[in-house]
Amino acid sequence: MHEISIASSLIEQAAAHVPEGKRLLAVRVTVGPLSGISADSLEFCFDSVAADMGHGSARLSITRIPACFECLTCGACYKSESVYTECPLCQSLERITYSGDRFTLDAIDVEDTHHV
Amino acid sequence: MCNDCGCLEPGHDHPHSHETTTLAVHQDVLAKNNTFAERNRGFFKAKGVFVVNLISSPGSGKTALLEALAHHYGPAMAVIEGDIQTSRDADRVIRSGSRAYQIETLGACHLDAHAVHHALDHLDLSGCRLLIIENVGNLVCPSAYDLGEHEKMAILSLPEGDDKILKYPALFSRVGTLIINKIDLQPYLDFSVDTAVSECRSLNRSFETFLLSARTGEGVDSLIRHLDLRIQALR
Repeated sequence: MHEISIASSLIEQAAAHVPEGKRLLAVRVTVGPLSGISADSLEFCFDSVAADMGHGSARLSITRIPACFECLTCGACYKSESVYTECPLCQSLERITYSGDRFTLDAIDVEDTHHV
Repeated sequence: MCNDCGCLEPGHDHPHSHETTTLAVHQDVLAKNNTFAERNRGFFKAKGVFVVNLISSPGSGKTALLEALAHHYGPAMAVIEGDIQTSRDADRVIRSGSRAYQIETLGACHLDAHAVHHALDHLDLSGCRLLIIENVGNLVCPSAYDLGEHEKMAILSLPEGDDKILKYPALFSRVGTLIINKIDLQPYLDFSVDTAVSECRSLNRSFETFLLSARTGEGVDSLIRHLDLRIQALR
């Protein structure tokens, strides 16, 4: 479970983009099925890691993307979040895997710091 | 109560807005690791050393394979050992004739490029042609971290079962070399090499497979020929 260290470096990276006088509200990431990152584990630990790092207002928003496959038996292209998915047309697992390893920080949401 | 910000002070100015602004970032989350990986890569290039990131589950035979390779390469091989605790693995490699430096991760489940960067301060690579970084025994966490290596080498051993490739796709989609170890146990286990290799090919079309037994030495020669070719290609 390396998602705690991932969460802490993600928050550090996001915080570096927060302009002065603003606070972090959301951290938007994209996770592919071949990224080596468990989106569920990241989600699970994010809030407490963020609070520990002084960004208790920050929430995590994950876009899960599929991997793309080209079937070498029938030539079909298909997408799936699971590597177990066979070709939907011919059920072959002979294929080329093109993507799915993405793990990016896409954007952050910020708002002005409150005065109370 | 103020309707704008919820504070208890009535009728005051609001120079701040409560509007949410979205700022685009578009960065790899592992960017910091990748920067160190690039530095390591430059260092390895300058030294002319071929570097392997060796990943497998605990007990699959990583250190046994390193012992076999150390008997062949001797001082021309160096090893960085990543373990949660103890220098037991580094001691085994040193006894077999190669140099080794132990990183104790003290709980961390993987090596990152920064840890390798520091380990390189403690390892003399003069006269060395091959550096193997033995990652922490784990099929999940190490796969996401580029250490600056030339290739990832995974070991899958027969007792683990032939169904493990698709269970750990992040690793097997990135390997350059797939080693199937403990091949001497084939008569006793129903591990299908074809299944393992074809499932790996469903994730990755550019890896080579070696069947070997680090214990008996069977098949280790083929792996050494492969490594020699990769070492020569750097020169």
